[in-house]
Amino acid sequence: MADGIIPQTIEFEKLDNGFNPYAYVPSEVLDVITETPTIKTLVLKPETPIGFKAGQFVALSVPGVGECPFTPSSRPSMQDIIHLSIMKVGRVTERIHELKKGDRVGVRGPLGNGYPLDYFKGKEILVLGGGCGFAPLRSLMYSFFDLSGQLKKLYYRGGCRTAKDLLYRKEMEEWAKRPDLNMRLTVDQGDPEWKGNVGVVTTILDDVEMDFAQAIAVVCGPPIMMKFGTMKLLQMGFKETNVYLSMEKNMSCGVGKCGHCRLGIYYACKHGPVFRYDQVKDLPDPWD
Amino acid sequence: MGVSHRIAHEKLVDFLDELASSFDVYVPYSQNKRLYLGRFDRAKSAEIDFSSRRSSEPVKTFLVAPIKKVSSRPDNRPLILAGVKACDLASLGIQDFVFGQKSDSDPFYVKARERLVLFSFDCTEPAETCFCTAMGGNPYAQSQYDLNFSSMGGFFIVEAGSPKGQKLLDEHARFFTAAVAGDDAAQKASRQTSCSKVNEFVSKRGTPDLQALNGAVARQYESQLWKDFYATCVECGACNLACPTCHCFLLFDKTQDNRAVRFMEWDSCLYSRFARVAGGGNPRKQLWQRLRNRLEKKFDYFPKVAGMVACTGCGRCVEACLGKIDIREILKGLVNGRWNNPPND
Repeated sequence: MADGIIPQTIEFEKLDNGFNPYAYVPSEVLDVITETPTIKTLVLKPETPIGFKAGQFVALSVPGVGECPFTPSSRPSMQDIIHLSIMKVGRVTERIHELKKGDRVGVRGPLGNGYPLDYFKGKEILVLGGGCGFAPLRSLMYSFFDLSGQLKKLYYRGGCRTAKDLLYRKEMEEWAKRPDLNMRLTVDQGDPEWKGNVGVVTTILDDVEMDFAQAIAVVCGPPIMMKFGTMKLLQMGFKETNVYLSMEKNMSCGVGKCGHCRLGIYYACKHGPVFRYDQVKDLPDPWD
Repeated sequence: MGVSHRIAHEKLVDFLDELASSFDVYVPYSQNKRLYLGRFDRAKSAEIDFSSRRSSEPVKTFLVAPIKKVSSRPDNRPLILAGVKACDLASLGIQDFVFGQKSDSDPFYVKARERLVLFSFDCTEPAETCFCTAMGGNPYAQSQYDLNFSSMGGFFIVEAGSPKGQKLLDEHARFFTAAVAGDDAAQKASRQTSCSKVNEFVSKRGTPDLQALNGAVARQYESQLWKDFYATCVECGACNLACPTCHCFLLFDKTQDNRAVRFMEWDSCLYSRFARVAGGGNPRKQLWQRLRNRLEKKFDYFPKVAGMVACTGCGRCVEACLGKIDIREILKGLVNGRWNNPPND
């Protein structure tokens, strides 16, 4: 490490009532997978399992350095292991990218609401992903696969900048063979090796066959992609109440107290991060 | 529980001195015309000013410390805050809403709240910056206190507001005498006088009341006024720190003696990085947007989610602001839809 070792004494003292919402569970880094030039996936084993629902998030701490929120990308039903796919963008994520197998970190959570999977049962579902949004959606897709046969239809439409930025490419190629999934990917900028569609994600929606007035859409990606994705979905006939978004805000405490992630009358960390479009559409600047 | 006792000024000092053996006791000391909270010290009792007005520090200092370790145990020793004012007690409504709700509480706050014993005092000399009556309050406490003291010159009229307060009265009865007929009326008259003082400040400035302010932030949300209101803001965050209802904080991690420790520190929504996300996106890039956010939180968000405004009219932000930004003028501007108070050079 450039500026000193990561301290290994990371236990929090237990409070009298045994509960401290700001304390993390010490966890071991089992593996570090390099996904793209800027994204690595940490495979973590918390000392006590952190059960989560797809769409809920956790806060990952590099002890003594800092903490950041991430939505797991692993299968929620796999209780004792959590995968976090993390892009290197700042001070803490740079340190996270230096982590090695065997290092110890802290995981706090699960935090937030998650997707209403029971409500999704029996419905036609379109999942729309962009870039880093593939990570949370991977855990949602696994939840859908676990529900096998209980969804009427399942479409996945994903886009990212270039083929190099495509997360979980091998896995996605496997998914594409599933009979219960209609899947297409696109990249904004093609290269000679890429055989698929070139264009933004809204250009691969025209072959989606659903009863749009009843169907569910799940959108996760950068704000600009969610904005234009949502506009397109509404044009197609999706109801505002059936479009589910993942709102990215600055979250510190993760339990609706510290004030950073307020979004109108909601806190993204507590009432979200999954919101229906009708909940946020009247905010002055929902996509900012 | 009503007016029940009297205590002479010097007996009050004796009472606190006795309590100091089993409690941490804090009182307001007068210094350069302002009041600052400090640990009770009998030797400095001449400098204690229990009554005149609120202290410079908000009561939240004792509940959510400006900076504290959240990787260790909270403090358990009970603490008496003697000299707290109604505007601070009103702020507990917001702090309790954020940190103290049963289903979803912060254990550090709950402990700090449990250990806190509140001796409130009626204001006798409200400051020119006071506007509690416009915000639905009064310069005297009506709830949230354990014991309340109304200054009558050489003595105080005392009432208990909680079983905890009543117990202290009973256990230390020798410092008190029974209230006499007419104390109720004397207290009422004294309170009326203080109310009139605050009302005079409010009406002289034309500070709007809650009824006038209802919906004003939402109506003016897109107004250009926001840029004018905050022309002199230097983004120091003093208003946030001085405010008894501001509750935002930041968790941050440090390494001390090769141990990872986590701190919770008061934060300011005026800092540019407050809402910034990884990668640089920021919903409130401009300073005026962040200042609008502060007012929106106080006068739109909290009324919607908690049924109360997050301003108690204590005037601390007015006193603290380096840019001489006056919340009373902003509220007036929001209601009137115009800005009449360009800051003086």
